[in-house]
Amino acid sequence: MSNRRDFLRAGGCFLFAFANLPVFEVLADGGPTEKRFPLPAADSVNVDRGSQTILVRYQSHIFAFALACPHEHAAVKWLPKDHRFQCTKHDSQYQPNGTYTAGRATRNLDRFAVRKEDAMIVVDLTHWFESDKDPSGWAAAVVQV
Amino acid sequence: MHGLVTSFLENWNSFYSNHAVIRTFIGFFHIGGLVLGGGCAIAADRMTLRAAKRSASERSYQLDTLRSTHRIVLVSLAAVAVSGLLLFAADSETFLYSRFFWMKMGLVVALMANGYLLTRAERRAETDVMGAWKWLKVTSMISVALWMLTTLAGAALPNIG
Repeated sequence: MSNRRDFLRAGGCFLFAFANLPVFEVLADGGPTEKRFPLPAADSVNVDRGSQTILVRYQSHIFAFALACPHEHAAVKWLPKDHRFQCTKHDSQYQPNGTYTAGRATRNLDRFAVRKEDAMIVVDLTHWFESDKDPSGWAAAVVQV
Repeated sequence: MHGLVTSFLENWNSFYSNHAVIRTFIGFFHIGGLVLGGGCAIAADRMTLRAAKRSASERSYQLDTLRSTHRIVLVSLAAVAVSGLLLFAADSETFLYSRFFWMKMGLVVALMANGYLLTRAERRAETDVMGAWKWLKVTSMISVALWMLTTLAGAALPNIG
């Protein structure tokens, strides 16, 4: 920059654009406390980005996982061909039931508390279980169908 | 057609996720292209802002420098675009629903549009000196801001979503 005015102009442009980013909006969000899903009819993976959950039906069990990898909270993705979850940032790998198998993470995918109500699966978004802190709660966070 | 695309995306997603070397090279081309293209562009923008206040000969020299910068920036942007497309295909579900992804794409379009205006001002600067240099200054300042904001959006992408 050749002088103070140019610097302030450029800085102003940058700050104006930055102020319009929804950085703070996405961090503080008082969303719903429960999420209801139709009972999956067969083995499947259903990613719900609105509630940041993954609903899985696997071998007659239904689980609801947090979409965020426990390592650095990047989104995990489902690899249909390989039949596993993988973190998009550091490539931690998980089985369909959320069990950690490889990578930098140090625990399984976090599971939300789930229950069955008629033909619906209700995910309690305020209660989740971390396998290293509460292994029995994590193991019990499942619906058998 | 839809089945073909889905099958390609599934295969590429699996291949990409299972090959660390491929991921490394694609990441390198994406970030390396940004460093090279963005670095050259920001350096040229900075020199344009300096030259705008200097003599006619210095401004003329700067126009030559600008012309020689475009090719490097365009080749780098091509590397960024191709690697970006491969990154997108490896995780299209996540990116399609990510507002930071679409914000980044919007910034890239704005960067291209600004680049077009900058080259137009550069051509005009050879004849209509003062008016065109005013435009060159403005587009150069916007260019610096857009390169930085695009980088910010890219950095936010894996963390905020």
